[in-house]
Amino acid sequence: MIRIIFRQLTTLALSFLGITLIFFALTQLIPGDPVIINYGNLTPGSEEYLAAVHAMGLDQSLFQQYLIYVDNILHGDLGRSNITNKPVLSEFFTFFPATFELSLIATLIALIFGVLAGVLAAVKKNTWVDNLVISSSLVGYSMPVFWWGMLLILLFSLNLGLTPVAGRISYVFDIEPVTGLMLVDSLLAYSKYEFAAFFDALRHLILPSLVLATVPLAAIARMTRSSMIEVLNADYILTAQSKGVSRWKIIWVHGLRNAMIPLVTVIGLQSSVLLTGAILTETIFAWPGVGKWMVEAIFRRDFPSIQGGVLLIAFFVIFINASVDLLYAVINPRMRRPK
Amino acid sequence: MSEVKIYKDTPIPGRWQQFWQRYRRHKGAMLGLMFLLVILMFALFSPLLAPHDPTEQFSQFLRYPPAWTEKGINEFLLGTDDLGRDLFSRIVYGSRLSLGLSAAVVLIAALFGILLGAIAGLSKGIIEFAIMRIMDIILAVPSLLLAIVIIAIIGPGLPNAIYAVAIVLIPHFVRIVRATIKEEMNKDYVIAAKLDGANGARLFTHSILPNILPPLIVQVSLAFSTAIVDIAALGFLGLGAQPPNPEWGTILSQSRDFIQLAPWTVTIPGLAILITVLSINLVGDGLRDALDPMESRG
Amino acid sequence: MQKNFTLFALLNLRDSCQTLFGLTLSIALLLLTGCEKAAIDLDAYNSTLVYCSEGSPDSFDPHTVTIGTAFDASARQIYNRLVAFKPGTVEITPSLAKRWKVNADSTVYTFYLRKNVSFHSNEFFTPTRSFNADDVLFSFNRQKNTSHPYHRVGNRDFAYFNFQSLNTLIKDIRKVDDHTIQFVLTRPYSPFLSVLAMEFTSIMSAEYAKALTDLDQKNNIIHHPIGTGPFQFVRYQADAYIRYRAHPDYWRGKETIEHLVFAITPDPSLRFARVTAEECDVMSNPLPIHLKALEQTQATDVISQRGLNIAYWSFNTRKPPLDNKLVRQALNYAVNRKAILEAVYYGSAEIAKNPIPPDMWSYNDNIQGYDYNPQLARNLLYKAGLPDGFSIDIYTFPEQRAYNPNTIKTAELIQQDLKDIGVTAQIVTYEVGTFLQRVKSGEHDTSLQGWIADNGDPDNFFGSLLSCEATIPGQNSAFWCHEEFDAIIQDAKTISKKSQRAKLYKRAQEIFKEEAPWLTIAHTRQNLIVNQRVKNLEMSLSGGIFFSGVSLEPQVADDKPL
Repeated sequence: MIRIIFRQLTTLALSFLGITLIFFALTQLIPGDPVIINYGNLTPGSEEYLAAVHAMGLDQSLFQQYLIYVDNILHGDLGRSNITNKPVLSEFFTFFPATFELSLIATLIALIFGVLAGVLAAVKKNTWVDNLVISSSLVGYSMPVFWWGMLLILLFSLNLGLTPVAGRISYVFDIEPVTGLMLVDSLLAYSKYEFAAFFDALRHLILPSLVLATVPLAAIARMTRSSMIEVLNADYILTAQSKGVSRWKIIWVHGLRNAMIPLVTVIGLQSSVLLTGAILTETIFAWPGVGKWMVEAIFRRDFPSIQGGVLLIAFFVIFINASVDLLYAVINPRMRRPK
Repeated sequence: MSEVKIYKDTPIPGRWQQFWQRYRRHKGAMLGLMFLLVILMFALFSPLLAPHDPTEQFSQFLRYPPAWTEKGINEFLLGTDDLGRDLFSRIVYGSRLSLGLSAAVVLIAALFGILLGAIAGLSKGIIEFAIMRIMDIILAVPSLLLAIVIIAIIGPGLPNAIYAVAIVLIPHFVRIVRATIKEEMNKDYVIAAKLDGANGARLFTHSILPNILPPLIVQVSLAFSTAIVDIAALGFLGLGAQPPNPEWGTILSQSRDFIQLAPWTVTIPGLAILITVLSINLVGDGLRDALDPMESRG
Repeated sequence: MQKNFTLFALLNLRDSCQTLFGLTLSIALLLLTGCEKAAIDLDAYNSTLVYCSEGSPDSFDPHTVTIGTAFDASARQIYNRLVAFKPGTVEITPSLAKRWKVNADSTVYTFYLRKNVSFHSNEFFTPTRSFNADDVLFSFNRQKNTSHPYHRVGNRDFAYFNFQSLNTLIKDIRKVDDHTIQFVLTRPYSPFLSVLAMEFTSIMSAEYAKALTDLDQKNNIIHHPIGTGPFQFVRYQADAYIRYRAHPDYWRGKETIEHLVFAITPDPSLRFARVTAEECDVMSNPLPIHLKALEQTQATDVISQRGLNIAYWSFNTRKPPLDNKLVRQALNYAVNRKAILEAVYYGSAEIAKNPIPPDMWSYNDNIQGYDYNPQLARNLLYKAGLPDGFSIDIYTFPEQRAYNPNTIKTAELIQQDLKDIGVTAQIVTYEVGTFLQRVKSGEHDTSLQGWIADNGDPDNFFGSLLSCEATIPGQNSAFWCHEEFDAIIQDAKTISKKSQRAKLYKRAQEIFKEEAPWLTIAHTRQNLIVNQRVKNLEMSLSGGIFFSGVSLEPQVADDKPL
C-alpha cells in the first residue's frame, strides 16, 4: 500500500514538473511583450517596468526564469489578472466551487443512472430494455453538449416554464458566499429563507447538471453493461447460481462489485471529459464557473488568468486521476502484491 | 465457356472478406455506415445537391420555416435563416467542412501520434519517459480547454482550430501505438525476427504495423467523432470557423439569437451534428467488434 | 476487504436501492412541478430589481474605466458628480454642487457644494464627516498628479481625464472653504461644465482613502467602492452578479428599490430568454430581432430612446478624386440609406442629415439632407469630369457597435449602390484596433465608422471629428480642414453664452452639408426591454442606465412569476 502511494506521489511530482515546463514553454510563445502581458500597461523603460522585468527574471537566463516561475507557483503566486488586477489564485477559487458543485452533481447523476441502466441492460440482455439502453446511450454518447443544453432550455425553460433559464439561484435571495457551494450556502441562509433558497438552488441545478451528465452517463452505462455481461458469464457467478444464491444478491453483490473495478478507471477518465463539458455547459447556462471564466479570459486576452487557470485545472485533473489510480489499487485485489 | 468444377469449392474467405461478414452482422453498424455514406455524398457533391448557394440571401424570404410546416415553402426544404439563406444548402455545404476538417485533423493527429508512439514504443528510458509524460499532461488538460488555449496563443480561425484539435488528439494515438508495440515486441515471432537481425524500422513495418492496424482503425473512428464535436464546439464558441462559413457549430452560434423566433435554425444544424457523430460512433462500434472477433459481442 | 465497500453494502439492500431510486424520482418531480413556489419571500421579490447586464465591469474605479458596462456598474449607481445631465437631455443640472459661477472668459469655475451629503459605509469604513471640498480635491488630484498616493492604485491609465486634456486644461483647483471649490483653467473652455457631468469625474471619499492607507489596503478603493450615490455596493461575484443596496442616507432621499442586482449575462439570446422568463426585470442591449419577437408577447415593455451617436462614411479628402466637392456630393446622393436602415438596423434608427444627433442642442433642422438620387449622382460625376466612374476602397471593421449593428453588411449595401453609378468599391476590413491605426495614418480612401458622444456638448462632435487640429492624430478620418468651418468651431469653444454658440454651430452644419466630407448614415436608438412592473426607468442620452428614482409595482402572491 505504502509502495503504491509512494509511486503515485512521485508520478504527481513528475507531472507537476512536466506541466510547469510545458506551460513555461507555452508562455514563451505568447505574442507580445511578456511584461505588458503580465503586468498591464507599463511604459517601457519606466521604473515599474524595470522592476517587473527583474521580478520575472527577464534580465536573466531562460533557466533562471523557469526557476522563478516554479518558485512563484510553489508559493501560490500565479500572477494577477491583467483585467481585474486580482491574484489569479484567488480568482480561481471564486469560480471553482461553482464548477465543482455542478460537476459533482453531474457525476452523481451519471453514476447512479448509468450504473442502474447498465446493470438493467446486462440482466435483461437482448430484450427491449437492453435495446433501449444501448440505443439511448449511443445517442447520449454522441450528443453535442452545447446543442443539447440549448434544446433543453428551449423546451423546459422557455416553452414549458418549468426550470430557470440560467444562473445558480434566483437573485431574490441574497446568499452570502461562504463555501461557494450554493447548496451549502443556501442552507446556511436558513434563518432568512428557510428551505426556499435551497430548493431554488436545486431547481437551478437540474438542467445544467443533466446536460453535463449526459455524455458520462452514456459512457458509464455502456461500460457497466459490457463489464457486467462479462462478469455474469464468469465461472464464479455460475457457481454461485448453482449454489442457490438469490438473483438479487448475485447481481448487486457478486456481479456489480466485480464489474465496478474497470468502471473506476472510466470514471477517472471522465473527469477530463466532464471539465470539457463544463466549459460548454457553463457558457450556455451563464454558470459562473471555471470553464466560463476561461472562455471569457480568452476573449479578453487576459493571459495571466489563462495560464494560471489552465495550470490549476491540469493539476486538478492529474490529482483526480492519481486518486482514482490509488482507489483502483485498493479495490482491485489483482493489483496488490501478496504479503 | 466456364470451367467445369469437379471438387466442391468452398474457398476460405480472405481477411477483408471475413471482416466484412462480421461487420455486416452488426445491424446498427450497417445503419451507421449507410448514414455516413449519405453524408459523405452530401460532402462530395454539395454543389450538385444544394439547391442554392449557401451564402446567397433571399431578402424576401426571411426566417421561413421548413417546407413540411404550414408556413413553409418547397423551395426551402429546411427553411431559411435570419438573412434569408437556404438552411438546407448551408447544411449540405457544412457537411463538407465538418467531414473535411475532421479528416484533416485525424490525419495530422494520426501521423504525429503513430510517429511519436513508435518512437516511444521502440525506445526505452528517457525518450520514452519524456514522450509519455508529455502525452499524460496533454491528456490532463480538458481537450476543449487545451484547444482554446492553443487558439488563444496562435489566434482564432479555421486552420488554427484544426491544429489545436489535432494536438489534443495525438496522445490517444501515441498511447495505443506504444502499448501495442510493447505487447507485440515480447511475442515469439518478433523475438524470432529480432534474432534474425531485423532492425527497428524493419521490425516496425513488417511485424508490428499489421498488428496495430485494428486498434488504430478503431481509434481513428473515435478521433473522427471527437474531432467533429470539438470543431463544432469551437465554432459555437466563436473560436473556430468564422461566419458566413456554413460550418455547423458556427451556424448554431449564429442562430442562437433566433432560438425563440426561428427554432428550426437551432434544431436542424444540431441534429446534423448529432446524426453525423452518431453514425461515426456506430461504424466505430461495428469496426471494433468486427476487427476483434475474440471480444465477446454483447 | 468487504468492509471497504459501503457503497456496495448500500446496493446490497434491495430496499435501500429502491428507496434511493424513489427518492431521486420524487425530488425530481417535486422540483419540476415547482411545489415550493409559494415559499419564496414575496417581500424580497417586490423590493429587488434584477438587471440583466451585458458583461462584467473591468473595474469599479470610475476614474479609469472607459466602457459603458463599467460606468453602469460603478459611476451611475454608486457615485455622484458635481453636476449632472437632466435625465433624457443634455441640460446641466446641479448635483453635489448646489450652484456655480463662471467668470466672463470661461476660465474660472466656482462651485458651491451641497452640505450634509453622506457617504456609504462598509466593513472597512464608517464615515465620520459628510462630503466636502477635500473629496473633490482628492478625486481630481488623484487623476492629475502622477505623484498622488492613489495615482498608481489600480495600475491603469486615466483615459478620459487625459483624452479630455484635463491635465493641461486645469491649471489649479482651489479649496476656497469647506464647501466652495474653484477650478482655474489655462484657457477659455466653455464645454467644461459638460465635462464635469461625465462619469470619470465621480467624487470619491478622501476620508475612505485615508482609512485604507492606514489599513494598507489601498486597492479596496476599487474593489469595495464607497460613494455618495443612490446605491451602495454590497458584493461582486465575477461573471455572475453585482449586488447593491439602497443607500439609507442618500441626499435625495432613500430609493424605493431596496435591492439592486446586476445579473451578468454576456450572451444576448440568453439575456433575452431571461427577461422573457421574468428572471430579470430589465435587459440591456437587445438585438433588433428581440424587439421583433416581443411584438407577440405582452409581459414586457420596450424603452426606446434616441442616442447621442452617429454612423458615418467619411471620405479622405486628401485623396483624389475625393478632394473634389462634387464627387463627395455624388457619393452622398448615390447611397440608399433607407435600405440600409431596414436591412441593418431593422428600423431602430433614423437617417442622419447632420454630423450631430437631433437631441444635441444647436442641431440645425433647416438643413435639407441628401436624398437617394442615383441620376443626380451620375450627373454630378459627369460634371466633375468622371463620367466613367472610378474605384475606391471602403475601410471598416467586423464588429457590432452601438451606432451600427453590422458594419460589413452596411459596407456591402453601399458597395452595391455605388455599382449603379459606375464606382467600384472594395471592402477592406481589419480588427478594430488595427482599423483605427490604419485610418489614422490616412491610407484609406473612405472609412465606415461612427461616434458615440462622451458628453452633451456639440464640440465633442465638431472639435473631435472635424477640426483641423483633429487631422493630426487622424481622429478626423476625412482629413478635412476647412478654414471657415474650423474658425467657427474654435470660436464656439471660447464663448460661454449658449445661444451664441448654437448660432455658430448651426452655421457650421451648413458648411458641412455643402462640403460633404462624410455621408451621414444614421442615428441609432438605444433600447431596453423591461418587465411591466418596472416604473419610471429612463435611459440617459449617452446610453447609460441609472436606477435612481425607479420603482417596482408590488405584486400579489398569485401572479408572482417565480
